[in-house]
Amino acid sequence: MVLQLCLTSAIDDDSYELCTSTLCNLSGNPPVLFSNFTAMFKPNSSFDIEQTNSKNQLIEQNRLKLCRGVPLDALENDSEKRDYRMLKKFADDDLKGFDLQILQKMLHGSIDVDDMEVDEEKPSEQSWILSISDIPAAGSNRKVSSQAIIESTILSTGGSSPSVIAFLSELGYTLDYQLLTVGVKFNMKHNVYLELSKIWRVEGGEAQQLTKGGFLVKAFVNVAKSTDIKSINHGTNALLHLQKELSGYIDLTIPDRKSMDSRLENLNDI
Amino acid sequence: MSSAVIFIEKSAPATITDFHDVLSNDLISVKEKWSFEFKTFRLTVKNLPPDSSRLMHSISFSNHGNKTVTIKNKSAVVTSTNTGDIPTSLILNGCSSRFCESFDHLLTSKLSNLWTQRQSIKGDFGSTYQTAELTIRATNVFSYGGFKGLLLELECEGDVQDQDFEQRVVKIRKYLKDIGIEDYKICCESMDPLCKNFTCDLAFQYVKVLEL
Repeated sequence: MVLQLCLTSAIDDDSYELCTSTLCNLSGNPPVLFSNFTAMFKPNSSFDIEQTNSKNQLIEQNRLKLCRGVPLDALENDSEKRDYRMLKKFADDDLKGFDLQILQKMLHGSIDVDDMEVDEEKPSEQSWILSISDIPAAGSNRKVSSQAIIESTILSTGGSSPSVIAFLSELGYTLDYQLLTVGVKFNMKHNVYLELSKIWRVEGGEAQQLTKGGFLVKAFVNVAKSTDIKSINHGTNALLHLQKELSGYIDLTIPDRKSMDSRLENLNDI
Repeated sequence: MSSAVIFIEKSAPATITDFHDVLSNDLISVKEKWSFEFKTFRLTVKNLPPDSSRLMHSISFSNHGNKTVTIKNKSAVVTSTNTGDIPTSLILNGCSSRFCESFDHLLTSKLSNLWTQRQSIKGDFGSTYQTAELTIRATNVFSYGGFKGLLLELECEGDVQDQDFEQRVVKIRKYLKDIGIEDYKICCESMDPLCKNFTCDLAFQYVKVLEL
């Protein structure tokens, strides 16, 4: 169970260039371009699912997060242009020629028999990260958000229905919604990562940008064990230090824990 | 790579020694110890269509890179708890936090309202025999401390014709006959003949022979 400590903020599109160069100077590292595809799954709604397990413990129904990288060359053909400046072209819904079919192929597997040579794929092209996150810890005197995440690595899938979506449907989960994230990441001091990202919601062959006009800013530290108080304090202080350093420029704050709740019926009980 | 799995329920804890003896003329070397764990999970949903299957199996191997295969119906996933197995690209782009846990743990904690663990079968401290033709893994199998039988995993590395592999398996079956074992379950099938995946197919063979 990983504990993710984080602070978030937002900047507008116009500030992006200056912001990346500031962060670049502050971290001493160049920005790393990344792109992820996230598919969220929810328990099959036609199932009559118990709220408790065999030990009579209450288990709340949670969404499953499935995540994998998107090849950057699919977003930008020209390798010369493939750096942090590339993000400036994504101001609205338009993904500038990115083929959304790629995402569907990842989930459902290829229908084309010629593409099914699994051996030729690199391991990273078959792997997925499967995770479930708890609602961030409550409490008014918290300085940073802290969320427990349980994560598992799927290395490959097999069988005569070999797609990852087929397995999850056997597991009792159906696709809820899909997101595409493109962003840059900075490795800051003391194991703090800072991401500036744009997020699209992908549905029925269309993409809608959720971060229109700006970028989501997220600074986070991952702590391997939620019982490791020393590392948690260390991470918290590192985040608070960054918050202070950037204050007045980017105001990093604790995100609303309700918005980070992946439980199915998250509106009923808070 | 081809594989086959044999499970001999009608055997005694000493049968493994008999098997070692009958194999001794072919033996090149005795290799590492190995173990596996086989778990069955049951879907607790009440309103499933009556003909749909409720069981899911997971097999963890100490060999084969410490991987776990989880199989339900015609789909399987291979998971790993080994941090070194997480593709670096997934760590670099923030998909993974580098701290992963076993898929079984996810099932028994967060999904325990959907899935309950029914049984656990273990083979611990088994032997690995290397012959010129095959790698043979043998282990006594226990369920909650009780002896269940003898399990043999036959594996052939490299590109071998299916027919050749079958003949090598026949030879082992002859040896079993020599030590008076004729009643057992064997499986050499793959989940999908058109799309082979060694680890998934091996796990599928375990399921076929160990399933009640």
